[in-house]
Amino acid sequence: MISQQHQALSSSTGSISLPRVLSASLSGVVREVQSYLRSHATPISHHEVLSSAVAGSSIVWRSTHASAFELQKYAWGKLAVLRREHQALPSSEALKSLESVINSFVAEDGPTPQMGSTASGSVEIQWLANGTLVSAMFDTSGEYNIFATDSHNEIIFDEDVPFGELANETLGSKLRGLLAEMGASVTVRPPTWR
Amino acid sequence: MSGGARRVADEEYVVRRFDPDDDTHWTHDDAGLNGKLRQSALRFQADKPDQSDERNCSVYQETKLAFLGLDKWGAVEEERPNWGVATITAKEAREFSRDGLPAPNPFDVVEDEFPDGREGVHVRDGAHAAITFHVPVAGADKWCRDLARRFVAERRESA
Repeated sequence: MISQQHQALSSSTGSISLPRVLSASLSGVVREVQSYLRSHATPISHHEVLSSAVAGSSIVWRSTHASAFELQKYAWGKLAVLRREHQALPSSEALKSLESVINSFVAEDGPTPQMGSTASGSVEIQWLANGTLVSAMFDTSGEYNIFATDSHNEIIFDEDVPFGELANETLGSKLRGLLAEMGASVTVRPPTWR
Repeated sequence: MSGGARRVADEEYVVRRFDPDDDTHWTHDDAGLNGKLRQSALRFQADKPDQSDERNCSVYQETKLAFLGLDKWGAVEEERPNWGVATITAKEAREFSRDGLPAPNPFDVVEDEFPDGREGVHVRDGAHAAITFHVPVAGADKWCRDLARRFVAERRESA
């Protein structure tokens, strides 16, 4: 019966493959089902068992869909935290460049832009999906570096962009394409997402 | 601190602890694969006022942890059970380079047992070491980003 409940839960998620991160939570569901069955003489229905098990487990199904606005808002919110906690003190030029990168490259259903600070106290955005890493790192002067590695840590591109300029058409196109490809592999956003 | 300090052997692994729940330490992989350490997790600090040009990031020598009866997870404080560990060899930390990074590699890895010299500290302090560099360094942010991504990071659930 436990295997039937497990299969029922799997099929209830439809054709979407379960993210790897949920595997530990599924074990929790199985334990909850076992506990429920030990505590109740006769469950009313499979649905009752499953509902109780999921409610008692750590599974929380979050949609990975995100509009450009939501992703950009997430990035700005994280930057605000960094600045408030003095973990990053970006210059006004760095902030202008950061804004142009966020506006140009953070698109609907893309990978999550994750903010961090640099050794010099400036800011960096990283995107990571399926082992592919993209970094946009901003200098005090406003110059920024666009850097990407594939899942084997081989460099895809590593280019500096002067302050006041956008990434040239070739780099911009490559970056948009890579981020879109990464976005297609998103299955679970960071724990702090929504 | 590095003046006169013994250099950690090339083949020695050093361990840096990090908080995987702190998204400035750890970049999450949106496809559910293992995340990556980021440079914010390597906090380089000036240790002493009279060594203001030196920046140090605390790590632990894995062989010394073992000598002290600890494995690499012994670098993590008991009150932070969710923290992870990231490792790199001293050789890689001090020798890596590539096109796009200003040469030469600025890092060194030195022993620094019991850095505070305080009584009653945790036994792991006997394995304390430091990754160091001297400022100013051209392209310091790029160097630190590259250093961070070369660590092999583990979280508790994958241990």
